[in-house]
Amino acid sequence: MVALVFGYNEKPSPLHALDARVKLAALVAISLASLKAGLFTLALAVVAALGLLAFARCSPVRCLAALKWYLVLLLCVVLARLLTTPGEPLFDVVWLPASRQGLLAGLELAGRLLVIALFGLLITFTTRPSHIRASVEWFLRPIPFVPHQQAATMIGLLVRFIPVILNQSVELGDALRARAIDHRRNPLRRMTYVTMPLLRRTFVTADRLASAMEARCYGAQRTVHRFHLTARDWSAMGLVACFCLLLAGCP
Amino acid sequence: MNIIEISSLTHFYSDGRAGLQGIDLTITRGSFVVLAGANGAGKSTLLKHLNGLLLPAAGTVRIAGVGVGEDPIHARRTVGMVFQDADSQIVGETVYDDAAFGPENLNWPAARIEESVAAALALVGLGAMRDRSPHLLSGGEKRRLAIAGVLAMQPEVIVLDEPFANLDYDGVRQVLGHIVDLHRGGTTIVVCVHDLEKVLAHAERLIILQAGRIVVDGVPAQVVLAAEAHGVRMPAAVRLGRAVESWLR
Repeated sequence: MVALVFGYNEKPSPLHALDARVKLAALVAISLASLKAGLFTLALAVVAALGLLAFARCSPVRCLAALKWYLVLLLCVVLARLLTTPGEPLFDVVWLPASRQGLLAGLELAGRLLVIALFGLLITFTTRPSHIRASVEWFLRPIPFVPHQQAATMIGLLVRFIPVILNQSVELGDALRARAIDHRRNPLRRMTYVTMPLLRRTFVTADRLASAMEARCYGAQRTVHRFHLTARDWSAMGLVACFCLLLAGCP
Repeated sequence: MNIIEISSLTHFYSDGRAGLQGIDLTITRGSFVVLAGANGAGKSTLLKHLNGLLLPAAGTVRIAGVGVGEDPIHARRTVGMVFQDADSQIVGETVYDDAAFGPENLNWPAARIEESVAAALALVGLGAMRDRSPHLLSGGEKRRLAIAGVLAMQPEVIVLDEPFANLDYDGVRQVLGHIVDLHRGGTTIVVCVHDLEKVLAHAERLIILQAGRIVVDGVPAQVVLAAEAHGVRMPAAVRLGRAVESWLR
């Protein structure tokens, strides 16, 4: 279920047709603009991201469900800021040091992280991984001493193997539960029993992958993806620039 | 005409054990060879020598007349290798991306890649799934994708390491059907198995390895009776005195 959202889905939407470089540049620009954004504009950005996901034929509810543990993490961020930032007390309770400034700071930080995650999800949902890889390669190419092809391949493999590693960890967890790991009280011990075999399997998989890539002639001279910017891409860039100005300019 | 020529091939593992000892073998173009043996007999090691993933400690391996050590890329373009574990062989995030990985490595023009990948996916029946995520495919479909990834590079020989491992009956039939079709189309096939039951009916030659040496080599009907003496189970039909039946019937 999670893998279905965190991955490319072929749909006939204009967002799918956009140049991958435009989408990656937009993600970077929106992430930077969100650093200057206030609560209202962050809320606007979240609504815009959910709207664009729906426009790309990806259910916003399904996205939020897939991000449930991320949302829990954001809640922890808000709580941590709420309870540790000094300022005007929110409640008249001595043992609860929550401040108004802490709440605002926590909501802003969580809002920024949510905006970045939702726009990131939008990109992985609407862009072929091979195009993401090619655009990373395109952006890295002018930087000297950076092996852009290897870096782009690593990003591509990372995207490909996250679901595989997640599946392996679920399988390992099931196998350990079948042998009564739940009876172990020490959580560190339990974690060790999952982590060590998972790392071993991951390294073995990486080794096999390297052989398989070598067998298929992986090397420095690969076919380079050709990008073509269209009027739609330029229009999208204009819209993103306006949106970033709004995000950074408004409170 | 021989497409694979192996002479006095010897291989040692990193711990010093001998993996292959004095292998002499030739495989003719367009043939269907089954390479069998118990676990640890050296089958997978031999296959890796055909693709240049391993190089001989002694002896020579020549693919279409060119030494593997002299030009490993030529060996990899000529001999496509399908690994046992399809999951760790698939590198693309979509079916199309994975099948295109090999041709992109060969630096082919985009139009040729598109044409070759489309043909390879159609051949293994995955043409309608080009945008699906590979890890959502069934075991049989993953194995077929691994075959398509190799086919897209248009090799002359395809070697398959345990292609039926972990597949259900339907998955075995699908993969076997594609292997047989490829052979009919003129591709040289080398299938490495430890269970002869599923594939022997289609093979023209059976080679059995034991402890890194070739101990049986011949036409299946003539040599299959010797299989059990070397750690490979005979097909049930042979035990009953009958000819081996195809799983495709």
